[in-house]
Amino acid sequence: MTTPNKTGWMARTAAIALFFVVGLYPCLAQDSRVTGSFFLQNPNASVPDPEVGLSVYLFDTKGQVWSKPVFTDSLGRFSLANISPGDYYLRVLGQDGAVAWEQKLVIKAGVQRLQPITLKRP
Amino acid sequence: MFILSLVLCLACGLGFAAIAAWLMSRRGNTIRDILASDRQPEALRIEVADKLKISTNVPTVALYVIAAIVAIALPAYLAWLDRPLPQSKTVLLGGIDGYLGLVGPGEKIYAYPPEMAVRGDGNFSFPLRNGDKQQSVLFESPKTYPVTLTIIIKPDKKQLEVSTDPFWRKTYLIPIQDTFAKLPAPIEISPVPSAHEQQAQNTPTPLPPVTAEMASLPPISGGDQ
Repeated sequence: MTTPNKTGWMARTAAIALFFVVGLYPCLAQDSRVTGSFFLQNPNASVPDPEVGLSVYLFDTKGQVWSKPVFTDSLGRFSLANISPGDYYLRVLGQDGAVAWEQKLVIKAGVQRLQPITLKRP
Repeated sequence: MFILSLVLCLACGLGFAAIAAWLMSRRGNTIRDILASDRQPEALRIEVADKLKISTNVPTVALYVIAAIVAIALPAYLAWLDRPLPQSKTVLLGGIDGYLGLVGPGEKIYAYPPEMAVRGDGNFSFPLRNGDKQQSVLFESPKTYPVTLTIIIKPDKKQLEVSTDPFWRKTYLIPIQDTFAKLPAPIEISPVPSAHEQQAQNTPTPLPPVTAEMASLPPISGGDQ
């Protein structure tokens, strides 16, 4: 038979365990995803054109290393998966190899969507 | 190694040409004598101290042909043997995890460059260019996040290193067997949540200011671009 004191102890233990599991989950979840999209200004239309084939790189400030490139698709989207939370720099190169975009990026746990970016038509 | 072979071939060719020139300068063997004669050109005859006598019916003129073959054709043949391997020799086999659950009826996930194609069951066989150090394949569809597969052919052309992880913490080292390399696990592609997509503005987004830190970043290594 369970005494009231014992029940209270178990409930407190369960509550503490639940607090840790829920509270620590975002810290334990190592993999993050950063998504975004690039467009090219179109003066002859109301909406910009998707920018296809840009090379998107991340620079990890902790490891001091550049990532391999990922490429924007036919909708101008890119996705960087399995990224550890931390401070990064995002650098995007055009098909001519010139830097098209560069910004600092603080990546947190979970999925992070960047605002769509419209590049100026040269 | 090829340069050494080329030098040796040229030296031998010049040697043959010199012998031919020396023999043809002798009386009866000159080009004028050969043209004026009704008979076959004089055969090559070598005598050493009246003891060793070697003669052959091969005309002396043939020595020039041999010289040309040794000096030009042989190095050309060696260069042909040493040529780069033909393109598209290695084929990467693999598949997409849960493909049919990712695409609706009549839809598919596309691969880029165009010579890459994903079959209706999600499997693929990508022809790789052996001349390229690093190649990328982009998987895309409106309902999934784009995934870039990066492939590196090892210099010995016996292994591929493959990853979808931008920082290459998780990579596959795949042996090439009979020009085929098979991915040990299917490619993982995630569906895009059906949340409302943000609309892009048709005015240029202001460029973020370039900080001193950004300006001092090391260059992206050339092979990775």
